[in-house]
Amino acid sequence: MTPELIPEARAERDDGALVAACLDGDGSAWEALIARHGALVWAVARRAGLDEDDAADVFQNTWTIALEELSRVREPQHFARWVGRVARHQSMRVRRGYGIARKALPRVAREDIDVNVPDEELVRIEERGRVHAALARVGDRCDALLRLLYLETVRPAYDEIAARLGMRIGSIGPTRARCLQRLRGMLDGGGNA
Amino acid sequence: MPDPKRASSGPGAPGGGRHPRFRRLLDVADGLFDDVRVRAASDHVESGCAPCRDELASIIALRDRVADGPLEAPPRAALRRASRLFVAARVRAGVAVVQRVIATLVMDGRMAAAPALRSAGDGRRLLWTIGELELFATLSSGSRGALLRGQFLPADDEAPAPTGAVRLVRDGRVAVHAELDDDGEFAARCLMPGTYVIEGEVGDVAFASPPFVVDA
Ligand SMILES: [Zn+2]
Repeated sequence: MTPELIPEARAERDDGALVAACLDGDGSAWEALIARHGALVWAVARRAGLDEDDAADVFQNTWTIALEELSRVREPQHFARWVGRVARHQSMRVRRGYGIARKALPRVAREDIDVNVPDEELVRIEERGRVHAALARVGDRCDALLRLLYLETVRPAYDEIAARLGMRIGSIGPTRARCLQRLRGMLDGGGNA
Repeated sequence: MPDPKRASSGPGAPGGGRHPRFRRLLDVADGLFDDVRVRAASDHVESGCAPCRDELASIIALRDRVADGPLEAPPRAALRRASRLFVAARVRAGVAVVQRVIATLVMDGRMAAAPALRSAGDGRRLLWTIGELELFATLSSGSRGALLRGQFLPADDEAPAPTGAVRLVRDGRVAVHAELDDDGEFAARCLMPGTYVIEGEVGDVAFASPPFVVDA
């Protein structure tokens, strides 16, 4: 079996483990949480109709709250959902024009976060955020291959994909299947993606 | 990974033929019908095998989720600022990484008379160890009470000066609150006679000293 048939495995920690590591003072776990879920937080702020500056404020406030509340997140394995709701809440406050009070939001907002409010838009962004985070964990080769196959407006021919990724043409089919299976496993894996 | 509900290559769908593997169903989803095996898999699904039909639908949904594309990446500056929060919180001792320690007094001696510094003659030098840190202080008397100057020194000389804040507590009440400056130094002036404790949060250590007496 050639190495290219095996999507590289990454010993990634799930969100619950990252939250626990943060609480133990592990700065790399904090970086990993931001890398994994930053796009979700950003997307929530942007979808709320905020410009880049306001979205950047929401982004910072959201992570400030996340850090302060980390030890009180009830289900750390569902951190993505939780941080998405914080971002949503922060975005709504900014959008309602709280103006100057924006700077003080991290102190006042936390009790108001109702994680039980259904919100279809947020669910859709969360869903995309989950796929986004899972793609980041599925391995560079898988990530590149799946993007070429399914994200390009015009799907490149297999020989072009093979050339770009340095794969044999014959391995593209089976590799993409393995990559998607891994991706599905991550998405099904208890909200850890 | 085989789906327990759908033995991956058993005989047996209503229309005959084996249940196709994930890869073949993905080929069907991707429309790669040039391959006879893909056509066979498609026929199998079309023949009415419910588990395979569900699996194909789930594969198509999965593929479409990927095709929705990644989310826009946040600006780098926003990511950087967010990642710095962690270090800032440690400095503020906001995260549960604070060690609580009792400072140990390792030296309490009279200062040698220094001709150049008239007031130094009646002072004391004090040295506490606090975890990995050392707190070096001089206590001298003045007309309006005593003056305590202190400096926190990291265990490693190459390390940056610790940041944080200290409080001088006299007879149970906070008499002075002082932030450390860029050199890890602080000063507390006009200390009335009494029994003091120095406490505070410096680096990732919260500490309290044993009591010491400041004379009139
Ligand atoms: Zn079947």
